[in-house]
Amino acid sequence: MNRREFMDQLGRLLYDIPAKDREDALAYYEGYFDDAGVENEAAVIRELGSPGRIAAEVKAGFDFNPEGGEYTDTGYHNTEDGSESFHKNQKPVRYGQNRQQHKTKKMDSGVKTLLLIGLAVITFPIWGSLLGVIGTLILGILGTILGLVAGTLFGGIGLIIGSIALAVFAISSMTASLSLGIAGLGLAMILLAIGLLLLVGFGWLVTKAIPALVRFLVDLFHRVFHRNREEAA
Amino acid sequence: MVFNTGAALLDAIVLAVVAKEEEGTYGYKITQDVRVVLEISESTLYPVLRRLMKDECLSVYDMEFGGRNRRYYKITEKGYAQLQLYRIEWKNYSQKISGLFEGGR
Repeated sequence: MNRREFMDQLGRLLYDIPAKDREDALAYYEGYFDDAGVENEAAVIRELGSPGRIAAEVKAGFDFNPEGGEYTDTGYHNTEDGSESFHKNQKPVRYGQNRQQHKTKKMDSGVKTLLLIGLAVITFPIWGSLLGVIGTLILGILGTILGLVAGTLFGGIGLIIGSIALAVFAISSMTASLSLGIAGLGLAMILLAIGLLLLVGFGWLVTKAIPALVRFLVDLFHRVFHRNREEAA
Repeated sequence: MVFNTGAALLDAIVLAVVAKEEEGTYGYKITQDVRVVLEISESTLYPVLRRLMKDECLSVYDMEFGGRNRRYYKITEKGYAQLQLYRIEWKNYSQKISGLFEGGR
């Protein structure tokens, strides 16, 4: 390939950029050949690589964005996804194709995001009610625990107070009827025993069962999220 | 070269090369001057020059040379300010790395 062929091919490859930019780029490389001199023509062509590579670099330069990629001593690097890079040693024909693929991929991901949002909105009744069910379930479990705790505590206290009152009443009524008084005292002791049992149950709930449940739940969440993270990685 | 040259360093080197010429300099010469210190491919500099132009760090003018127009690049006020910033940054950066390599502290 000589200089003329090189420049003609470059001009054709840059057909899809604005005329002003094309002329600018072509003028730069024409000037480059002129300044290098006829004796260096072959060396310049060898060093430049191929018109395809130049065209890709020029085009990449136009929609240059600081986040998307950068020029380094080895050429253009796309830091966004690494799919697009122009290296000295790579086959030049692929650059144009890579670029095209990159564009469609970008469009695809945009469309995908839109579709996902649409899907999320449309399916709201399903996952909305599912969310409601899960929320209700959690509230129900919390309510049950709270009920058990309150029930054992207040039931126990109530029974103890009741049994004491009954005992006092039974003792005071012993003078009237001894048998009735003794029966009342016995009943008060049974009630006292049940009340104490409930309080023991309350103590067990607060010190053993609830911490164990919390530990179990934390462990469960931890495992679920940990597995998710592992799957993601 | 073992070390990669990032976009910012490449910008800084090109600005420094252009800044050396009062009257401005042209693409081929810039490439040759940069290649004294850096192994870069000849094609790499056009996008860099364009970018620096777009950022108003370089200005261009055409002047006749040997029966044709040659495009000259000149550093602007903004480009000079940018170069000063790069010089300071590079000094800090290279001193730290050198200090580490040479085991000063």
